[in-house]
Amino acid sequence: MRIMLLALGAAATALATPILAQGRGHGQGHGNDKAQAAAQGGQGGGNRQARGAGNRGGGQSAQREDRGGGHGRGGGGGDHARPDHANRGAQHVQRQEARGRGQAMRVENRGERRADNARDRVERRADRARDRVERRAVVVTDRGAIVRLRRDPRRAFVQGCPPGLARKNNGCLPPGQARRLLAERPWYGNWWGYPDSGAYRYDSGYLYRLQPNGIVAGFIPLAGGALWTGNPWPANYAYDPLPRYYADYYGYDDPYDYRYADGIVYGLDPETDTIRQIAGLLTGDDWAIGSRMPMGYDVYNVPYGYRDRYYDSGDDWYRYSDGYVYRVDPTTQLIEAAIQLIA
Amino acid sequence: MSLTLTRALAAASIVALALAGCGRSDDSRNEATNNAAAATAEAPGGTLAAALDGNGELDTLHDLARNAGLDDVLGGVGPYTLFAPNDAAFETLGGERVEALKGEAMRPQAIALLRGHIVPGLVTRRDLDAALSRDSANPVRMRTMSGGTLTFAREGDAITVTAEGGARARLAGDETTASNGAIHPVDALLMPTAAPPE
Repeated sequence: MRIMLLALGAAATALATPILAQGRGHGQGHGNDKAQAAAQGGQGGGNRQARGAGNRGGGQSAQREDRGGGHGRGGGGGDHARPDHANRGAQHVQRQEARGRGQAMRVENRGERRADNARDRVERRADRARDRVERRAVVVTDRGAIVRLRRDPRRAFVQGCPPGLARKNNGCLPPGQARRLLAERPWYGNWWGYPDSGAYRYDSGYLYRLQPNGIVAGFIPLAGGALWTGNPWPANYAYDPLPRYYADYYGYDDPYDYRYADGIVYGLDPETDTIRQIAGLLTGDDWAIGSRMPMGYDVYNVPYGYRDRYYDSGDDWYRYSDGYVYRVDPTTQLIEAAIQLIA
Repeated sequence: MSLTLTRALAAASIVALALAGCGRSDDSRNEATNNAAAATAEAPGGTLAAALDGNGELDTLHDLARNAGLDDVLGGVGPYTLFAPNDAAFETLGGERVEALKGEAMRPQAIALLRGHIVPGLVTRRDLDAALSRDSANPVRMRTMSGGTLTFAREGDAITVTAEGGARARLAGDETTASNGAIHPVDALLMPTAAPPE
């Protein structure tokens, strides 16, 4: 099978020559876009979920791009023949070792009680590393093949009252507490990054959105506060189940239920629904093939391991975001392809 | 047999790629060559978490990251790039506030602060220089993990970074590259530290 893939890749690379000779692309290769899309098709989750009687369940947040159009040049598979598997293998081993060191540090800091769990996790990761999918890049120009998680700060806002606070005539908070919060102007008051930050006040792990009369219009459970290790997931707080591609790319292989909400990936105990870790940070930026590159990617930022193939030139730019590298036309800034870093 | 075939096909791929490069414009080839030279540097072995642990000028940031539960994030695959306020930068905040930020009650604030100083991907000083040299007419901006934007500029030999709220810092000291990203020390917080207006 491997020989077949290599043969296809080598043949594809040879076929790619005329295209590359025109100054287009590094590591594009050729292959079967449809096959790639089909392979990817089973990976996504993407149903935005909320437990309990929340106000916001349903909907789709992890989105596939609409099909139709977008079949560009190239496709998956061209990189399979590149002679750098050994390097990637070495990097993979380094990464596993580094993760092991990180685990050890956590054991020291969190005390004896968690030591056994942490050791188990390290050992489990080492075991699973043998079975881990190989890290190899696949260029995708099929708009329907990419699953992305998106962040919309407005969606983090939950109407109603946080757990433990009953809605009353004046909102969720006692009038005195609401007035006190409304009057506060703390030095960190502009740190939250949500629209209309002047209306938000922090208290006890939640960010409250207050109306001018002090009534609570809604709340956001915050990472490090309500969303913290040992706490149950707030009953009416919506999340996206983490698509498999993300879990594979970031190496999330603990037996957790991984959820994405408001730019952060959390690992939860699937039996108790309690938070066990903050696993990752994502931009949730909107990268759609055929659309303009999001603002804020003016600097080349491709990870080690991919810089030898995906580098800026006068013909193409490459930018990394949330587990993918994207090829961008420097002149139009239109996104031409997404490169999966896990095949 | 399989090894022989593998080597032959790999060699064919290399030849094909070499031929492919012949058609590029000179400018494109030169730029690509420069970037490739930077790209071939091997990834360092340690993670961002380990690099923070070993940096004597970033103790406060390291404490905040650990207390905020971001050690898994900074020890993971990433990559991320930290524009890391040094200890002197936190001194301007005042000892009382810094200690409060390290406490449980202000973990959400610590996480918000850290997200505002982290951008996606691996960004080296050389990448920043290249972006600033490429087009002086347009701002050079990077997205943070909190959804904000950092804007970079040259000021003499220094590189400055300005956050959306107006907080401004200079890159101070050498970068540290890690297997999962990079750290650029900065001399000020990139978050507003004055109370919001009435």
